[in-house]
Amino acid sequence: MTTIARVETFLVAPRWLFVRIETESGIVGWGEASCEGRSETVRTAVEQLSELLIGRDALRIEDHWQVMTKGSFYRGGPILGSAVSGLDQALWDIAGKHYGAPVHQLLGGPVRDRIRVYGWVGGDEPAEIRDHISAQVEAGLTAVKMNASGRMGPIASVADLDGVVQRVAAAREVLGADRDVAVDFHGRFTLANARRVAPLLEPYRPFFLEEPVVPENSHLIGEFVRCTTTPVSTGERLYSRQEFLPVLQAGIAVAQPDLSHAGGITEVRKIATLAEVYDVQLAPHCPLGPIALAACLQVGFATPNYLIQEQSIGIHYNLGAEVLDYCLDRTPLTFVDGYVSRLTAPGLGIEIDEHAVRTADKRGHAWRSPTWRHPDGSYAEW
Amino acid sequence: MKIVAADVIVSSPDRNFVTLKITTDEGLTGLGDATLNGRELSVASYLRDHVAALLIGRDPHRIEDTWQFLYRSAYWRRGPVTMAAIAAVDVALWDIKAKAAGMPLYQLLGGASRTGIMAYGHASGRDIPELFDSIRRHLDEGFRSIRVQTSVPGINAVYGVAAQPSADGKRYDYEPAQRTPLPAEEDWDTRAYLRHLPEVFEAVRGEFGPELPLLHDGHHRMTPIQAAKLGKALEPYDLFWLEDCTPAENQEALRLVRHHTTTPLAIGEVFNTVWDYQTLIREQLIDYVRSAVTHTGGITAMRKLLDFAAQYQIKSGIHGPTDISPVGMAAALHLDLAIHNFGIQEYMKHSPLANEVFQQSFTFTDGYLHPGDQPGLGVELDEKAAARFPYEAAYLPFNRLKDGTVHDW
Repeated sequence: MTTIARVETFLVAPRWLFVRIETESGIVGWGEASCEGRSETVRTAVEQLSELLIGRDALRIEDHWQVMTKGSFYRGGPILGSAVSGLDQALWDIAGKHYGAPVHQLLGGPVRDRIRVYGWVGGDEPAEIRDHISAQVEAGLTAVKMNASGRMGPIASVADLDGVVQRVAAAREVLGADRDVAVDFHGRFTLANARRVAPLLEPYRPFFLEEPVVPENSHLIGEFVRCTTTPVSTGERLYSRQEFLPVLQAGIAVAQPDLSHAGGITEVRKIATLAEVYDVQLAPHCPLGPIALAACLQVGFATPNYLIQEQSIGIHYNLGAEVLDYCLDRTPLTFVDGYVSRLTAPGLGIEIDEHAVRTADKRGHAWRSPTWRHPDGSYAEW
Repeated sequence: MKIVAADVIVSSPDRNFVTLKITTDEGLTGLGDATLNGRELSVASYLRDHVAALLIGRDPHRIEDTWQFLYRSAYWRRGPVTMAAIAAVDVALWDIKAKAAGMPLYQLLGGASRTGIMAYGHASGRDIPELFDSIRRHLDEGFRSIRVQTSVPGINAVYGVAAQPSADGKRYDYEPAQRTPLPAEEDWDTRAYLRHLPEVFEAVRGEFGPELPLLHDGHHRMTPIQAAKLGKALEPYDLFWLEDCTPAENQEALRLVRHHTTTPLAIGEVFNTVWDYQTLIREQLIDYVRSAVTHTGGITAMRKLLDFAAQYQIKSGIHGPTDISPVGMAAALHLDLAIHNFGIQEYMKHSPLANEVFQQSFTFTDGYLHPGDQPGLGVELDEKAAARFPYEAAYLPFNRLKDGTVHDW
């Protein structure tokens, strides 16, 4: 009855890829395999992996994860990781609906009643910080995240460094001492720049400093951790437990796996368990759609070491569609006082508007991340 | 010079290959290999949907800039699909640059550091007599280094072992990707393997003497302590290397193996960047880098990786079975000839049909490969021939233990 009958994918605005699995008995599970800017290729990968699922029992989630991840020898990376993630989320959605329970009940039951969420401010070129933060505070949020800077030279000018400090200072001024601001370095900093700016930010006590080095330089993150008292976070571009282990060992405080890139609920649950051993809190990366957000929250309700949840309602990327546009009922993902309450419906706990998804897929999207260059014409990190 | 077209050709002359062809306004063309066994369509999509349009109008001579642009601007970086796509662009641009210069590619990489490239072949057998036959056949073909894989009593199908010599006697090697709609399911028992393998190497050394370089591939199936035990047990037989003894994702595993054995270690065919090797190279936990040019971002990235390895006396052992197309193989050979820290090159002959689709200038003489001296890579694609062999689904197998648990294949 839980035999998988078909798998479909939907490329929907603003920049997402949804996966729909249907069983022979008619249970439908949704997942999100969005890999921002590379979703067309992930769609192909999902189609190839689907061959392993059709005709199989949807409830054998761990076994499917193993076969999908290890079954073709060449493994890992954002494309295959996102494809497995979307399918894995959809399988958990089916399992929850089959057993009549929200996914966090299947993961061991709730450890909290609500999850704190944070929102984005400022966009890629932070300006008007004060206005943006005031709007988020008015909407009830108690934490925000902003980019530290735009394009950044390998050894930045004093003006660039001062700009970072002034923006964070402005944020703190608006937020006061009871709310938090996280600062995202977004891989734009060299280790040298990151070390120069971190001590200057300490007086403003940021919530955490995110991705201070590009992910392939994870072997350097320990040096950054040791040069600041501010908590350090990373992880949106780490795609497995194996890639998280060195940064956990290096002393990060916050792990940010992406439920749509790092192997889905199955793998992120294991990353959380590994992080617990290192006294590291989870704050999953999620500037994505409603399914990815629901998958994050399901892990969060069952995971003790869970700090806060990123969400992208109103983020500058969301052109053409918003997070809740694909939900039949917006209530489960509504925030009260900066928190989202426990999702109680079976599966991922949200109801997807299938008609809206199918309509949006007909339009599709071709979202791409921007390309930046330094003044000398060489490539700059975005 | 400007790029005016970037075409992706998926073709299946006996097995699937993904080839990128870049054309310039001056009529020069360059080829790159983007074959990723079992995930060919994903790489083809990456190139067609996300890369091809970005290349039009670019100067093909700006190889490093194009590499940085493709690697960094994706934001979601690394991984086999992404790095195979970047590799194809990189190799095609090197092909164009060398053709424009009128030189074989190795000349642009610093020129030849040696006269030929020592290659190893894949011998295998279901039992000792069949294995000996296979080794003799490889020696007759000119191979002077041999990888040894055998069946294990109690296991039905083992990686690296040709199921049977083909009836016409033409091919006796092992092609793991099978043209089945689903990946084949194989079985595995590490303890049985550990008991059996030392006896096999004792027999091979007894028959073929002490000089012949012998290699073995553990294919990521052992735990660290099991690998340590095997490395130690094989020490009397003086292996050239023991490859992929533990799952490559866990770099720290090699520390434990290293503490216990002097058998040289090789790893890396599932790695895609220099960063995957940070711990392994810095701590000198391996002796050979096993990446494929095709899966590691091309010649530009592979050369940087091997330069890093050279600082630690670690040598190359570039991946080269038939899941690397003749285009990818040629890229490896030019690099092999030019770098200083060359170790050995894996070499598995492509089928006659593949050779019909890809015309190649390389030679294999007395155990040594040479890329030839045509300008560029020395490989041309016959697109009409390629069109006769459309993509057919084919997958590498996966393993289950006796109780049904999925195991590394």
